[in-house]
Amino acid sequence: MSPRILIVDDEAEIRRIMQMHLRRKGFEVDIASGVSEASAMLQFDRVYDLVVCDFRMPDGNGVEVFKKIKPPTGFILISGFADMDETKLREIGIKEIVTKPADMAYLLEKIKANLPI
Amino acid sequence: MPHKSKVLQRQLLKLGLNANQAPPDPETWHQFLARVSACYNEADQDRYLLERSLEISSDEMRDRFSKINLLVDQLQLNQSVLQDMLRDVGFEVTMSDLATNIEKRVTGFRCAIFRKIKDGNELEIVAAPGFAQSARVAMTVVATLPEACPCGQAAYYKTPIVYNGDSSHPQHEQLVSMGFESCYAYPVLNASNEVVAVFSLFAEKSLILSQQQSELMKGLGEIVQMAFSHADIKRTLQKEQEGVAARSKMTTLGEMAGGVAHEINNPLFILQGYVDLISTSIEDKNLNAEELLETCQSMSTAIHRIAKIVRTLRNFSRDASEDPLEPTFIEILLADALELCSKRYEGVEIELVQPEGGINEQVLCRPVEIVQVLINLLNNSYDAVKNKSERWIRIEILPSSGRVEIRVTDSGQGIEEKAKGRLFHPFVTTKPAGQGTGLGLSISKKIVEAHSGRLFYNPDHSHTQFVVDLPVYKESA
Repeated sequence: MSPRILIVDDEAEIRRIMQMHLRRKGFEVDIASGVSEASAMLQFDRVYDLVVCDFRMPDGNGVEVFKKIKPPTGFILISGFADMDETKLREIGIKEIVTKPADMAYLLEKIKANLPI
Repeated sequence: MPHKSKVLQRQLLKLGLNANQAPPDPETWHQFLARVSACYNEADQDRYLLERSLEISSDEMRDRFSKINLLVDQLQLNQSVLQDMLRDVGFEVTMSDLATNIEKRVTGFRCAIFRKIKDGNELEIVAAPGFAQSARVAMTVVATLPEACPCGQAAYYKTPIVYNGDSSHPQHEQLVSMGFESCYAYPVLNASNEVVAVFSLFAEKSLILSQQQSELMKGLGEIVQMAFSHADIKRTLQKEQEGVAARSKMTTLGEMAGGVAHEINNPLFILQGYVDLISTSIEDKNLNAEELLETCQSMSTAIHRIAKIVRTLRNFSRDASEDPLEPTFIEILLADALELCSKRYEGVEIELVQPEGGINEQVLCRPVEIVQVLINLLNNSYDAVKNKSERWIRIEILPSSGRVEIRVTDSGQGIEEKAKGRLFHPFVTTKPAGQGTGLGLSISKKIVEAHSGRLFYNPDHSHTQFVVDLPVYKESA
């Protein structure tokens, strides 16, 4: 079965591009536009292998989404804002932080590295 | 005895004469007359001395009176200058008022005040309120040379110069052609004996200045130097303020940088994504023309987005006070301001409530300046509520009878009483040390007022509300 990824970002174009790319690479991709939508989707029976989540969104930030996932689901935080406090985020447990802009090859590498085995 | 004078009686007694008896012998009679004559002479002399001394006192008093008058005149002139300085009417107006006041005390003359240009051989006119335009133009710049008109000569020789129509004066013809027959010029010297200004009086008739009037002119030096130095200090202060204003903008830019970076990085990420898409399509030999065209279109849009943010950033940081006025939609002004500010709110979860759409009102303005004002208000609200438990900012646009109000309200509890009065003063801030230079609101107020508008704090609202009130632009049909 192909790995299941949830993309959370408030920008429609970003969701669309990531979904297109990742589907071409053989992943199953769902999208959510914010914290509330993501929380709702994470409560379903479907368990995601990985969540790729934007840091700043109108209805909350990526840390709130992180708190809703359970192991073994992996988590990558993506942000366009370069000066978030990485130490604090790592203390919370977020292991992977990617800053925008990043090319797809790099992102794919990180995705593969954070999928549960 | 009919002759009552005591002096007479004394003289009679000295010679042993009796008035009731027949006249004495001629010799005694002559002695008597000599004594009486001496008395008359003494009396005459006394009277003369008394009159003289009265005259002298009277002269002294006239002299003193004259000196007092001079002092009063000087004080009045000084007072006029000081009052103008206090009321901050500006250097040109202060000097013009002074010239007019001088003219009141030297009837028949018109007064022109010149400033000596540093490091140069010229005087430039500062005030000549009583002169015709043509004369003023002719006196705009005067050389400080021996062949110049009396004003220039006074500056060159550092001494008062008088011209009374004599044809040997180097500028006699020019003065006559301008209609002047007399000219008195007084230089003003500073402590280092350099000329800083020249006062000159021109008359169309051949007039002579009285001693007192001349003293008055010579005594103007001090107050003029004070006015000059006041103007210099103000100019320096203004430059410093502009410097601080510029740095304050840099600080604000720094504060907004994070949100702005986000706004640029997102489209860059999208661009990168499309680039990767195209690469992958080529590698997989999966080239769909329609899809690729769409992709290119989206890339173009992303590039425009970035360009707009960069332009808005640039606009925020520059001085737009010389921009032309343009009719601009208020909604667009607000959108531009939010472009730079709104991302900051997401990071700390400040709820932003925007006005409903469909507001078609325009204002005649320098768009960049009004956007700067809105950014100032929005950033102030951000700072005010970012650490509060209730965090929101509401923006309303309310048109009414020829004007429009833009209201920025935040969840703060209002400005406290003692800070209200100084809200719009420069260099006053409620922010902690290191943040906020306290210039934002004072500059914003100046900008709005220059647009025939008002910027004010609304004390009747339960939360903190600032209002920008501007006239609506109506195109003439």
